[in-house]
Amino acid sequence: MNVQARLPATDETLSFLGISGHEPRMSPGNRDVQLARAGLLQQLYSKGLPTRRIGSWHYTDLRSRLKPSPRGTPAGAGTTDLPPLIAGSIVLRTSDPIADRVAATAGISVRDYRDALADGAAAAGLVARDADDAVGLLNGALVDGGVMVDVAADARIEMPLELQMNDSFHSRFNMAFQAGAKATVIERHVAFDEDHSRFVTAVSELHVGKGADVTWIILQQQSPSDSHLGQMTFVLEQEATLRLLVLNAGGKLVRQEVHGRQSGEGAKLILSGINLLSGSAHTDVTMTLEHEAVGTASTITMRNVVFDSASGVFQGGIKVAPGAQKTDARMACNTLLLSDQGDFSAKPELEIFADDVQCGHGATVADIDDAHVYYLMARGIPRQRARSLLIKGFLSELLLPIEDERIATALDRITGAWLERQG
Amino acid sequence: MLEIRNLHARIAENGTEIIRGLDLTVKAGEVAAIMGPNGSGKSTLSYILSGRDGYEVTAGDILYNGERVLDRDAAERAAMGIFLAFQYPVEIPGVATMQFLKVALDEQRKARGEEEMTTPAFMQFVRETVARLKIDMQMLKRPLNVGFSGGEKKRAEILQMALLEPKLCVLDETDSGLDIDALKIVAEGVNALRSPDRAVIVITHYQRLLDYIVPDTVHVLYKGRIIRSGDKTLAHELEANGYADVIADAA
Repeated sequence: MNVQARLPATDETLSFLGISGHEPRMSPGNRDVQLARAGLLQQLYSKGLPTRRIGSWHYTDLRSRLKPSPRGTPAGAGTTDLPPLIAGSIVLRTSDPIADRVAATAGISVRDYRDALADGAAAAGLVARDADDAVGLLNGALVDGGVMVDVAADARIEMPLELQMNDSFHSRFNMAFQAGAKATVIERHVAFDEDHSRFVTAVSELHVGKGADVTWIILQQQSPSDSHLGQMTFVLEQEATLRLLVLNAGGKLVRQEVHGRQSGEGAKLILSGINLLSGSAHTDVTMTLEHEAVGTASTITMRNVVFDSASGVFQGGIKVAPGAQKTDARMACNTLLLSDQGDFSAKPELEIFADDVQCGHGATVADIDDAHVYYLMARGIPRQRARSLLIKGFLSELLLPIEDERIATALDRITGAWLERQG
Repeated sequence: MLEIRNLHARIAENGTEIIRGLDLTVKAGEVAAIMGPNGSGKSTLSYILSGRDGYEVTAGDILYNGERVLDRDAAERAAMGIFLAFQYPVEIPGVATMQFLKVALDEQRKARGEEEMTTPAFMQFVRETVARLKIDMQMLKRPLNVGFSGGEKKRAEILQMALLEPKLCVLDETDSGLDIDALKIVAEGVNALRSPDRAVIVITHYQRLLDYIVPDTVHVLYKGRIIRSGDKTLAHELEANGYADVIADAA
């Protein structure tokens, strides 16, 4: 059977989906990869992009919101080599993941995802989570670059690994951290060109082995006209720790999904989200987390700052499996709403099938406390600076789990600069 | 230094008049005590002096070294040298005390056109002042006022005052919630700041604090007006007889 013959070409499908501004690019891959892509396109084609009628997309109607660009994505996708956030980091660029520096770093082995597309090794991974997994479908159909990393058992990677999509719009990061490994990864999304709106997808898959300790930062600073769809999937083995920080400080339409399984006893997740929203941006953080083993712990905290007519949503779903006794899950979503036109929705969902667990969730929405502003002003701090200090204070707690002070300082600076731009 | 002339002020939200024709003059070098029963307008006066939003001045004026302050916001007044030690300092999570102190000092200096203090000089200044006020340096690493005991909060207020070196210090019921040892430390801190070019207004219910911070003048505030002024003996008189006689005399 020739599947491809009955399928529309990629461009046509994208046009049908209303995202035709996308620069037609080669979608590389061998026959297996092309077949997998075709299957995903078929699903997209038959259902169209999800609307708010689909539960998991209720707050983000992708069909009406994903309207990237009049044609004009920068030619060559802008191969700017950005200096890393932290000097001395090991930079993995999609254009050249296996640079000399990386090859020379003990404990890390890297494969260019394009090679896996070419030889078909990537084909098995080009699957959607379910029929409504638009991010997985789009990324799988369009993926044009990425990095596959294996961090060896007990390896201690001192310098952060920084992932840069410098010549790719749709990337995959497949990362395995073997037992006892320790590493920090900065997945960095930066606007290359403020004058063009881009459509970007990034899917990362993490496997965190027994006792491994991973800090992962998703730093999203796309331009105010960009559409950014991200998805992280992780599995935590026994006693593994993942500190995941999502900092959204850009983009017009942003959806960051986090889907995790704490499959090993005592696995620990600290998920912190800082969502900085302004203009007419819409940012959606959607999480599903499964506590599958005894004694697993999760602390999930979202702190959102909303200016102008921006909107945001956090969907937090936690499932505790029947055997996962002594699970400790805490979820909070706190919003500073600084405009009457802005909004932020929080939707917690708990499904608990074990009887000896602690699960808590809470959400707050508030403006800056006038009494706090007055107190700071009474000490000579001008109103704007006082407000900015208070907003930073509101966010700063989430930077505490980051052990590397250079990273915490850099993120604090990014937050500060973003706040300053709001005036 | 401070001249309040026929001040009338109300709460903006509901129009309730709190200050009703208040006159008060405080000279440089003077320590003035303002006493009065609950609800007489003592705290409101301190808020209006410091520039808190939410109050409307409907008549009268406040002059500080001959300059009108009512057009200035709270931050500008602080930079001019007006300091209010709060009765209830607010807890501000996420803002480190040390950072707050440095930003406040820098901003005041900037507003006055002075140079910023270098970080080592600032640290030295803080260490000396902290030692003098018997404050644990560890306290300054915590978020501003968060988890401080009542006494620690009041001492932290006096620490801020000592670091910012204001010219007009207003202490709003600084004695409330303090045990006698803490009261002495706070009073010593205030007394150390007494100088010919600085004025202090001590707002209090009780005479007790005035044993440690001895005032030059005492004023009785009642229903938004100063109904009697005198020297420190007036405070003793109030302590012995209560406010009833003074109020009856004024009526």
